[in-house]
Amino acid sequence: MSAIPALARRRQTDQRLRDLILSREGKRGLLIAFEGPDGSGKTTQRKLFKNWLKSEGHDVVTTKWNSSALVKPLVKARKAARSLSPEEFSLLHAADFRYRLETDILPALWQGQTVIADRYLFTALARDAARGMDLHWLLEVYRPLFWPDLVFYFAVSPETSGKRIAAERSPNYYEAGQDVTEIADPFQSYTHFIGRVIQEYEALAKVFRFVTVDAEQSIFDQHRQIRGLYAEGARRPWQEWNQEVLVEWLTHYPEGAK
Amino acid sequence: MSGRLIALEGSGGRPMAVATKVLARELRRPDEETGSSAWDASDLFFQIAQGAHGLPGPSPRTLILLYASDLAFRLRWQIRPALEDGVTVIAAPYLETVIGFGRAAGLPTVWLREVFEFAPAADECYRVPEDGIAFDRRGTPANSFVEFSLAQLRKGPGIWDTEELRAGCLSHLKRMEARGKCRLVTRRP
Repeated sequence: MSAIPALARRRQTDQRLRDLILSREGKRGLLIAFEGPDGSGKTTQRKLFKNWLKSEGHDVVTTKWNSSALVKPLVKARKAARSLSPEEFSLLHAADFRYRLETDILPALWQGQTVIADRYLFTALARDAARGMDLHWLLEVYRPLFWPDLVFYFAVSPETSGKRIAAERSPNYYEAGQDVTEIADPFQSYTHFIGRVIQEYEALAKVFRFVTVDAEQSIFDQHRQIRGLYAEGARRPWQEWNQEVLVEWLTHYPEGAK
Repeated sequence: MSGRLIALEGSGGRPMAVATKVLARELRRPDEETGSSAWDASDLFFQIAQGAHGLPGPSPRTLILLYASDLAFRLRWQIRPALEDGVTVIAAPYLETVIGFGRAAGLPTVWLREVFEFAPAADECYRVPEDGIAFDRRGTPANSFVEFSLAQLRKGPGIWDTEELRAGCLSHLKRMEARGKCRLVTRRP
């Protein structure tokens, strides 16, 4: 069979899928990511925001970082054994993310549900870059990127993050960055490591235009700010931002889009 | 690193195991050790096979990221230390099998090469002769990345022509051979 008719057929299919994506824009759900270092209070805000959206009649689902039934057990076992190198750490989290994107996030958005991501791929970019991984390679690993409509970044100082974590628990080995700092005391290592993570986050916040929330404010003030920002209605049109991911997904997973 | 890194590419199973032995014998030099590094040294895929009952099968992209993680493990614990000790290491498979699989699944070659940027280039590349191999002599999901991946894709919910993927992966290796980038493993006459 000649490659030219096959190529023409593929172009036709891609065009049909692009039209389908365009026609879905008004019905699809919004993807909102909550990002920030540990101890920034984003999970509290995510819960408040979710409850508020539900009270307003939205159908809302949450997706958490490193939570897929396929990959999470693998990561958990390796974290417990402290056996992950920074590369393996990155790649396993990327596999978890891609699996959740294809099996949970995209079907929910397509059905019109609002998806709140408690951490998104920017978590990996910040943490793994703080571990010394090359940002360009990290971006490639997560490519093609699927852009959220809105990214809330909860900004706190390393001191506040450290104090809030210390008040609750001892940070675990990877959370404290002990795999790269080689500092035996988890609290000392955390203070050192989280400073680097926050630096990376702040650079990402500028490049990717996160909406920064001052997470040193009261819980109520933050929540009010988030509601206000959401009401401004930021939306990234799929056909401009996310076409590559969606065409790939719709080509092979048409059932998910029914 | 003073050893040699030899990539042996193919869909796995018994033909790969036999080719590894043949190649080790062919490449043996006096006063030089030979070792091999096989797929799933990190047990990732074994654990997925044990624990993923009832879950949707991962896509080729996800499978490739998992393979990359396993390869990073093999490089850290098997390949790099052996090369530093001057050992000739046969990595079976290494990069081209998974790149062939990804290309057959329609993934961009640039993305595939970028993901595996952390892996050093092999000094030499060979492919397992698999033309006309009988169905029952193929690898199984337990001993081959390609067969494991095809079994996962057959679980759904995605729609994939797995035989076409398998053929596409092997075609990539044949093209590599045709371009002189890889040789067929043959026994010395």
